[in-house]
Amino acid sequence: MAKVTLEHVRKTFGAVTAVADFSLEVGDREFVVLVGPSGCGKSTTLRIIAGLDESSSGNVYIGDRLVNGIPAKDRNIAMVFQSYALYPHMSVYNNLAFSLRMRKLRRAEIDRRVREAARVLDIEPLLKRLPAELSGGQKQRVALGRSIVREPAVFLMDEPLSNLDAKLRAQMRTEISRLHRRLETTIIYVTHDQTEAMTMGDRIVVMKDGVIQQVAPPQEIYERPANVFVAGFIGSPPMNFLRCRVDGGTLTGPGFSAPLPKEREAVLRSYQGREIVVGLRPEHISDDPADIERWGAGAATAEGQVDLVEPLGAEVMLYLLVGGQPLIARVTPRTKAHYGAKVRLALHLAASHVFDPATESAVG
Amino acid sequence: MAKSGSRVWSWASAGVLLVGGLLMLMPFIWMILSSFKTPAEIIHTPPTFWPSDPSLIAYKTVLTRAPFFTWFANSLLVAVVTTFLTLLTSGLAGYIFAKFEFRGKRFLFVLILLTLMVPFQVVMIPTYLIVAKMGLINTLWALIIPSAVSAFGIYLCKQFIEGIPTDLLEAARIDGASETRIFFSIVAPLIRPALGALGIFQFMWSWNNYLWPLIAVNEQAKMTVPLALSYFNTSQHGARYDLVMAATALIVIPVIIVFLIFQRQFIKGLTLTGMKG
Repeated sequence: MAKVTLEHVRKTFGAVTAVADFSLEVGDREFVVLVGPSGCGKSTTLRIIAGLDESSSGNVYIGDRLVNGIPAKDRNIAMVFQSYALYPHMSVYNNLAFSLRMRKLRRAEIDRRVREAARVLDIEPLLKRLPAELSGGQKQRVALGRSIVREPAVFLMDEPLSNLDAKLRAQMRTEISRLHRRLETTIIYVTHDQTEAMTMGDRIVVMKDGVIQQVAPPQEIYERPANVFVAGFIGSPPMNFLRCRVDGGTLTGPGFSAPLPKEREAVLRSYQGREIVVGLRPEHISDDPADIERWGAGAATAEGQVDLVEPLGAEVMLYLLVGGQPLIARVTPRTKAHYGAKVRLALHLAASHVFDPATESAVG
Repeated sequence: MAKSGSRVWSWASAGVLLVGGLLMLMPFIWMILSSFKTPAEIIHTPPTFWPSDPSLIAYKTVLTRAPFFTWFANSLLVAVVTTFLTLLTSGLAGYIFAKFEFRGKRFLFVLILLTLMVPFQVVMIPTYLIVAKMGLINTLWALIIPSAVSAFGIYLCKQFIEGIPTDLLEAARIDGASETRIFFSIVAPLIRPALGALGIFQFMWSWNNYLWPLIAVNEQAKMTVPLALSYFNTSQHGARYDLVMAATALIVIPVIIVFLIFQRQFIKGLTLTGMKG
């Protein structure tokens, strides 16, 4: 196993900058997730680490070894592709064995490794089948198996679950996480799905337009997003953003006016007489009167109109219009809200996030 | 009413196709039947369909009075080697044009395609001069080397290889395969229908090729079977149509065998070419 270090890596395609000044150190046996919207440069970064593309500038180290210019096959990495990339004319056994044959391992060793990987992934009954005879989940396991047999220093995974249905995706997420614990490997995982990022990574790297927005453990990213983009990208449903104004000791926003919450007072006072952006997670907006009491002085009340109700079993999403602004609230199934109803809402301002309206960076 | 109408239509279509099929087969049937007739019976008026006294004399004459097996072996060797070389060069060039980027690629590919527009008659003299300078006239290599690369084959393979996901090739590179290994272990097996169709086309063309062997070879021992037909049709033997028919019947056998073996690949290759086109 090995750490991976990227130093000021940059990649341009003509006039387009796909990756801009990317620096990151992935620790040995760490599971790091690169997450961001399509076109943010996460797959390009992964391909640079793999050696499938060369960076325009910057250095890539695997362990202590500089791997710039070294072909992919000599970097001791294994990659799982979004499309699985199984050789369609070879059986599962031969798919797993292919890379070992390229390395001219002895037949007995190849057989041992293939059968061990098949046992770990529970695909022993499938060894004689062709990829066309496998389900999506089985193909995914074979793709993982092809990486495992190599015993590489680093595993690279490029959106490996995006072709699976939601249920299978959830199942494979846990399997990959278990595999990581079992094999104690270094994994760099690319996804556009923030749920995968939150549940699987030791650390998350949020990217936008080729630039790293924030690198932190999942909970920190969720609780202390560095800017509006991270705050809006991580979390489902996304964070609500309210354009507010600080006047004296009062925070005024769409449909509400409240004293500055103590927890944010120092930050908010620095924006005296100016606009700021206040971010509120859906779970910090409630229609339950008990929450208004529980949140106490750190809460504001507002009146909203229900535009849509989404029952999800254990919780309900209310799509509201508050002071003309759309907001999303995560409430309990006990809610009596229905379409068109006017509801009294509590906004937990003490748990809010404050962002500078010009730079969109988090403040305080 | 509609059902019986469509049934009449089906029968009518089948009838037309049967008649068309018989018309296509008739020259072959006539050739086979004539090979069992005497020369007098072949030219008799009115013509007979079935041989009145079937005989194998024509076949015996073809096989014993002329070096037919030598010509057959020459044709087989030339066709097999040319086909193999065409498949190899077309596959490799198609792979490069489909999956690699390099300066001048588009220009080079267009240049290759342009050669399809040039009839053989235009280049046969320069080809002869080049082959003569190489000292290969009157050798089987003269029949093989000019045909070893096919612009059509390159185009066909390129089209098929473009359909192979690039992820597959990148996975193979990460797995440690060299580009040569990737071609033979990954690309070639996946374009088998194209190679099958191309192989059959090339084999048939090479087997039936008359004009270039006529120019490049004048030694009897180096002749190929199409030239043998003119041998049996010369004034040395008179108008021995029975010998020509018997020789032709023998010549057609390998082509039929190749087609029967590879017909599935051939039809798949043609179909996929049509869908892609």
